Amino acid sequence: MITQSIEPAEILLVEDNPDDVDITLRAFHKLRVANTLHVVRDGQEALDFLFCEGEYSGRAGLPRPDLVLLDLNLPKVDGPEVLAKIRASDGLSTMPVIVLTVSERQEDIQGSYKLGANTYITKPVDFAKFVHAVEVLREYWIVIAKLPSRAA
Amino acid sequence: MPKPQGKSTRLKRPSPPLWDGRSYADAIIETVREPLLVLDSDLRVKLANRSFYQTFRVSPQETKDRLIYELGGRQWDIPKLRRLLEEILPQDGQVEDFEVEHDFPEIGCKIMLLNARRLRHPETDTELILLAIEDITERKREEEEMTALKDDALEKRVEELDAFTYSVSHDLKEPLRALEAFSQFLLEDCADRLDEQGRDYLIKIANASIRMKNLVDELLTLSRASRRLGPPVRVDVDGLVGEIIAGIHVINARGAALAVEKGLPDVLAEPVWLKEVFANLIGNAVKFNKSELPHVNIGVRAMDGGMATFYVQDNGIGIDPQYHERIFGMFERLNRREEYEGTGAGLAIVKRVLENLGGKVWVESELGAGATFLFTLPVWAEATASTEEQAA
Repeated sequence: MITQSIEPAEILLVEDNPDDVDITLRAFHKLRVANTLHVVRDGQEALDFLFCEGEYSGRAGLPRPDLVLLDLNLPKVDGPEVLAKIRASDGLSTMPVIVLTVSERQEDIQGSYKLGANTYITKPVDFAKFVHAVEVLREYWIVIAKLPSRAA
Repeated sequence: MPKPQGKSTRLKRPSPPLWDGRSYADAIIETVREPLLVLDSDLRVKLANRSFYQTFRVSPQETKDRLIYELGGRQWDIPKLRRLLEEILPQDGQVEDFEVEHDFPEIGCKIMLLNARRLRHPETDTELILLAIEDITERKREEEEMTALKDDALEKRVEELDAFTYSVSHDLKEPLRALEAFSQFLLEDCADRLDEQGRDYLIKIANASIRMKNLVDELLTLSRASRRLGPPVRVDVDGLVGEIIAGIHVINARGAALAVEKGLPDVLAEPVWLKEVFANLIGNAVKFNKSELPHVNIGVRAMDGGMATFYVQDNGIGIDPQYHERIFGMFERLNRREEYEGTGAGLAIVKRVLENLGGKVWVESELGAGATFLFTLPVWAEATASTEEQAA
């Protein structure tokens, strides 16, 4: 693994299923990386978090997330709409968004890429595979890829 | 020559006067609702009924004593009709339900069903041909529409069912992931706080969730197998079977001898799914086999009407004939899981794939006497390839 000399990354997990939240948290924990993982439970909360509105208005001025892990099926505002709003916004349009979902439907895959998803990943059933997927994701997007500065 | 007596047996009474043959025949011909022609042996029209004139919009003047092919400005010069009148009828004496499709310049395309019969006059030794013409254009069109409607409805139902299977399978996967993950977490974190039995229960939960995951995956495979991936292409069966055999050592732990006939014919199929078919059948032949010297033979039993019948024969445990249909059902198993692993979906997938490729599958077997699985597939031929190109 590549050395952890960089500062901890801020990751936003948009996931409504509490089991999946637990599983994802454990996968990150397993990797023993000092990332900050924020969890929001529906699409509206994700938008509030990202745009520092509503209960997240206090976040104004704080660094925006380095990476968003976005489920597609979400209450209130669904994943594709969250993605579209991110891409339409001046401040967030370049933020890496990874779609992390159970759907293997071609329509969902193509639709997500068309809306500007950086990567589309289906949640593996096997936990070990999931940990591996998270590790690869984190390594690529946080450690390897050069991303735009994350000034708020 | 004896005069025709009719059916009357009361010979004492004088027979009623015979009908005037000509007017009798004319009356019959006029009464028939369908177009009717009487031709002489030179194929000239001796008589035509009103229905003929109406249906084909011709006048008696331009019909009587004309050669049938010359009628209505040679509209009737139809190759198939020539074959009927000049080849088939002279040989067989009568023909029924002979279908002719023809595009008439005046009245458009007609599909006709012809009945024809040769009559020989016993005294004059002359010959007549009766030709009854039924216009089945409308009926055909309606039938085709009905079939198309039924096909559409069926296709829609199948699509709905597929979509249903697909979404159910996905929804099932969600809780399954949690089940598998949390039982694993429990084993990782709390194993030392559980006794032997507790750990055993936990392992059983984990195994059950893995099994269910396999079932759901097979269900997804089956639902995908019903949608064709691509158009059928020429598949080199020799090469495909060779690939499977090269990779089969994983399940062939008992070292079954695999014998493949040389020179298997190329078929018209979808390679990925055909591989699934062979892999399933060969895998089963190896798996359900307790012989001291297990062996599997693969080859072609017959080639007939553009179809090849392939076989996969083993000397394994065999299948009781009463289950020969059932084994192709979804998730059907004949053996306990402890004895033979598997979801029971393999043969259902095989059946679905082969039916989609225009073939079928069946089994010949007795309990304890090995099994031979047979299936048919269209053989690839130059001719089919050239029609494909024309279509493309």
